Amino acid sequence: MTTMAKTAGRTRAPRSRSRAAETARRAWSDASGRIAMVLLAVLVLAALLAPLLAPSDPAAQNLAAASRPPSWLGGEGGHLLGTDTLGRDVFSRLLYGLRLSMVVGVVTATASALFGLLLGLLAGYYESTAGMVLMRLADVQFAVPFVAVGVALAAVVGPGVVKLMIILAVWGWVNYARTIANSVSQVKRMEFVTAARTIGARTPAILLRHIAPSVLGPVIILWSTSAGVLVLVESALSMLGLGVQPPDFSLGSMLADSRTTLRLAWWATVFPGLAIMVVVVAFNLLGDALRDAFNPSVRTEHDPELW
Amino acid sequence: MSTHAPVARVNGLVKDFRIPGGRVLRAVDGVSFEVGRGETLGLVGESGSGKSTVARMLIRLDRPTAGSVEFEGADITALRGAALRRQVRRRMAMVFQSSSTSLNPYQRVGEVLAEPLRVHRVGEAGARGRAVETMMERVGLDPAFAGRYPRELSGGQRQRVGIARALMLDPSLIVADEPTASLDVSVQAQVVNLLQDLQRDLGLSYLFITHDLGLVRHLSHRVAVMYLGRLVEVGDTAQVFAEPAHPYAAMLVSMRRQAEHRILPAGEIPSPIDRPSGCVFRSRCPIAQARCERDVPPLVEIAPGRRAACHFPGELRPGGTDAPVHVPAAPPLVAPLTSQKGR
Repeated sequence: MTTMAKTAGRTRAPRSRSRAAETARRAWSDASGRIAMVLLAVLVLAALLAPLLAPSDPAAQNLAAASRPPSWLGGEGGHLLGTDTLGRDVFSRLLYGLRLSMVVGVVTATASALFGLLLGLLAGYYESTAGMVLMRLADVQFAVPFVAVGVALAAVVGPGVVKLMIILAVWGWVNYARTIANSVSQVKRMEFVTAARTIGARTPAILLRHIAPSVLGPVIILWSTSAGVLVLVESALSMLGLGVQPPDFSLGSMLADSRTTLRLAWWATVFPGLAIMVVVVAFNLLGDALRDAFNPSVRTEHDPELW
Repeated sequence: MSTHAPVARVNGLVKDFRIPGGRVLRAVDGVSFEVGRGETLGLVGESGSGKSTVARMLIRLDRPTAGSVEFEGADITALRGAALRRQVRRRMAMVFQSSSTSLNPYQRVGEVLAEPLRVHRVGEAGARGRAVETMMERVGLDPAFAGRYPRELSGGQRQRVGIARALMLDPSLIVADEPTASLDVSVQAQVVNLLQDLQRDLGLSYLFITHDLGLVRHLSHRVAVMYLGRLVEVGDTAQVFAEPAHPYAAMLVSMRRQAEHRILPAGEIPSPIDRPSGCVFRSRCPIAQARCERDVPPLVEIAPGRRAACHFPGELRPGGTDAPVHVPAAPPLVAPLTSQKGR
């Protein structure tokens, strides 16, 4: 009996579910998390497959077919979401605009999360030196409205989506650094960090391997919500003419192009607007679901036997 | 216990901490001792006596304000970088008090144990994996636990992981800071027996920090007693427990004797910020004289292998006899080998 238990134990070799898998499973088990994941999957697929899905060239103008209403409102030419004042197919433009908006949101959020994580780790680890400087800097930055700075910076470096992304990514460090610096300085005092030092681990390894995992939860939650916000910010700045420059376009610049002709072809404004809303809502829902998935008190409610 | 060249020696260690208000707290004040090869030196004292700070200086987590640390024949007091890693981190290990906080919650047991090897570039990934497996068996853990996270293990199992991690690089000295304090009594006994087995088989030396006198009596060859940052008595465990020379050691030892022989210290332990002049123990010592207020008693040899820091060594003697060593009964090791946390 004992030997059997022994062999059974050895052959089964239970490898516990990884934290990433576990968190994803929890987020999926949450209703809003599931909605968010499905929505985001659809949005990402739509963006990726835009060349296949788009019924026509998004840049092709056809003044003869300008300002046609959506086909289900009786518009001619079978344009699912109608055409804009230059006769371009709104649905096709929506898919391509979504592409750029998603890239801006995801890439910028990721870059600023990494940047913020790094600075937050340094600020928390060297709390009396680098931390002091960085946190005062963060205070200053918090007091300055971004749009004012964005407009000023864009005036200096010139408009352009890549420049805008860099500015947004750099600007975004504050939220991450502020959120995690405190936890970092707590975690660095934990015995397992001391243990890592006694076996000879170097500071970068200690920061990345031993401290970062403990603060990754808030970073990922922030990443998700900020991806939505960044899509919105990019739209706003593109509308002001500071972001995406023609002939490129995002959901935001579609709004900018069409808002003057709102009365003539409202569909060219409303659908990109709705798309922005869906993207932002999806990222926010995901953020909420991840918050619950990372939060231990909610965790026990969901799955009491696991802990 | 014959000790030829000691594995480690600390000399006149001092540690000051700056505290708010520009004052200085002297946590450790001139501590000197050595740890012999294959020997267990028990370092005892109340919390706040500076024993953990001594350990942290010995393993070079803290830098001494003054004094020196020697390890394996080399002065390691001021080593840094690669030399520190090669001469200290590679050769000296630590076992911590709390099994739950000394393991990274996001590392699987296998990663925890492979890390020392990885850090010091010992072996290939495959060889490391096998070394981890061997070590897990050595400390009585089912190698199948390698894929588990620390929270899925019991306290005793986690402490075995902590011990295994300390052993991965085949160190000559292990600093154990209250390694059994957070464990249940029966599990404590298992861990203590494991530490003793490992010492016997691997020729390890231990600096064993504890406030559990029974434990010190049971497993250390020699004992060093600290009070308020100073070493007050050092000697062979059996001798110190039979005939303590310092009044503080006498009080500690009397706690293990029959109730009527116990000597209770007067008052509270003074604040380390505001230590008494002369002998630090005088404010609580029943045999203190005027001289104790003036002169700091040096730690001097009072008998071969015995040192005490007292102007009147041996004058305070606890009555009764040293209680027989309590050998904790440990359940056999089979249980943790086969136990599986049910899902």
